[in-house]
Amino acid sequence: MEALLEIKDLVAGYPSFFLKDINLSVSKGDFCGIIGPNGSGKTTLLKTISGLIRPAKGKIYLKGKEIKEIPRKEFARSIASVSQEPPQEDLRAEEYVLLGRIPHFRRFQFFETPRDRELALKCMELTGVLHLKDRIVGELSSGERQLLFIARGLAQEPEMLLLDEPVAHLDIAHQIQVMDLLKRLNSELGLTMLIVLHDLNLAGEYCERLILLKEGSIYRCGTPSEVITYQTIEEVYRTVVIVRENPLSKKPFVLPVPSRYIRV
Amino acid sequence: MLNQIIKRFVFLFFLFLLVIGALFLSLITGPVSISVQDLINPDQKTFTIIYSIRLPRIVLALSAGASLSLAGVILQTLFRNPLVEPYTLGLSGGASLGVALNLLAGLNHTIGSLSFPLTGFAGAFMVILFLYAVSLKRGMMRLQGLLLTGVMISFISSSLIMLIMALSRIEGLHGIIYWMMGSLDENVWPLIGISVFISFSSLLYLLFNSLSLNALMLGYEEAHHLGINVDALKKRLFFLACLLTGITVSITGIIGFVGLVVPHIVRSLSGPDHRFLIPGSFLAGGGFLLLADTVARTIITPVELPVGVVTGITGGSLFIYILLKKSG
Repeated sequence: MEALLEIKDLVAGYPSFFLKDINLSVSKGDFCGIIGPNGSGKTTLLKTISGLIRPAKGKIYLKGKEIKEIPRKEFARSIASVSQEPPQEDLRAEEYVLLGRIPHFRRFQFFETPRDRELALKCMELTGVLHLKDRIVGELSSGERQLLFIARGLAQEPEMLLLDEPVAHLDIAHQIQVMDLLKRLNSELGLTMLIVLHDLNLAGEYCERLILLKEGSIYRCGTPSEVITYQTIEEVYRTVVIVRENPLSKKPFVLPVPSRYIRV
Repeated sequence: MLNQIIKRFVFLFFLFLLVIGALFLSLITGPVSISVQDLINPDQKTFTIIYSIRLPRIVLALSAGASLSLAGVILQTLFRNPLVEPYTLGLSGGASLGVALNLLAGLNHTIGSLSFPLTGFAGAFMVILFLYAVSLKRGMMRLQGLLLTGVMISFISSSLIMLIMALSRIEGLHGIIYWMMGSLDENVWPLIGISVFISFSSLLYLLFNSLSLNALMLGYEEAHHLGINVDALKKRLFFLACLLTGITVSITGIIGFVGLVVPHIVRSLSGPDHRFLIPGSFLAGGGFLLLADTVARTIITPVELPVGVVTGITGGSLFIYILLKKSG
């Protein structure tokens, strides 16, 4: 099967910092997590895929076509990046989600079609924020906002969602709510997910595949139980941890070990 | 949602009626009052008053107000900040410095009155290049920093204009003073024509790009993710803001705060969606400046106030109000 997204020998980044030798392929329907310490290049990788950062070397293919050859709007119809930043203007939630239809507007089309509006409402229903449609985005709680951001991503009708720490700053109930939603979108709509996550436990629990970055390179890639072992975590994060198995899901989870328990 | 759209169209229509109303009010009021009968059936004297005194002024007020408001909308979306506009960013100051240099060099005698818009645009463009370079260097420019820089640019420009005035000979001085006091009292039809042309073509351009502007108000990265070529769009918008400001200032002199007051009110009434904000600001800007000018020239007849007095008082107060609300 042809990969949806394929990255070959990628080198990219800021002058002071580079992603090196990234080789990666994401198939349709994958639920992929990107993990790694702060400054390991997770966000840079996501920005390079979404075209905000130009690769210095190497190529990125979307369905076999190099992404720099793909027109921006066409790209936005295939891959949606979910925002972390609320708009500064006083936009209503429904208007905000409708902005996700912009890549689908035809030349000289000025207003949303009834289908656009229906779709926006459907996306809001799917993420459980339909009742907020007349509220101002800036006044929503961070959990509600995150669900709304995902709804806007869905309104782009993409094949793949890119998310940069979608559960940062959320409490555990909202974290689970968002991750459950992403899982459901993945299994029911076949939406491919590529998610940067800080929380190793959530990453291990939900992702089918994990990409562990260290200093701009892929350190390990595989299923959660292959990637999250106490050896790799200790090597990459330079922190002592205990890794156990979740009794329900049999997925790995990480327990921190404070330094006072460590005897040298 | 459909209700919202209908409401906004009604709002636009209401603004249109307001402009028509302001137009009639301005036609009939002045040192010589003109009755409605005279308006329909004018004698020679009334005809002259209407066509060579009041109408040019009305047309210029409408197009200048519309241009300044559109420039305000563009800058507010580009900088994602409701307090920036041609005057507070120093664009108007730069444009007026350009025009003063033009008068000093006597370009208006060699190229003609077309030199005014050209040098006005060049002055505004220099300011934008400077602001752009500074904000690029410091990453994202903070609100206070940007506004302070703009105010300083205005100060520097007006000081330089005074320097130019001190250096120029008497004949040149007359031209500069006349222009600086410059109000909407302009009857060079080609200049008015340029102003009208620029305001209408900018309106069309912005309407066609209003969806991209909607994306842009979410910020650079978000607009990029929605498939907008942000760098190219930003460059074109900066250019357009300079064009609108430079040309307007070169014809009317500095009229502050129109670009702040009008978009602010339109936005609070019809929302931030550019598909309505742009035509709304176009109409309301023209109407606002026309009303302000009618007030300025009739409130203490026979003395005529500069229109900047009226816009300055309303706009300055609103500026302080928004600033307090934002920080409070």
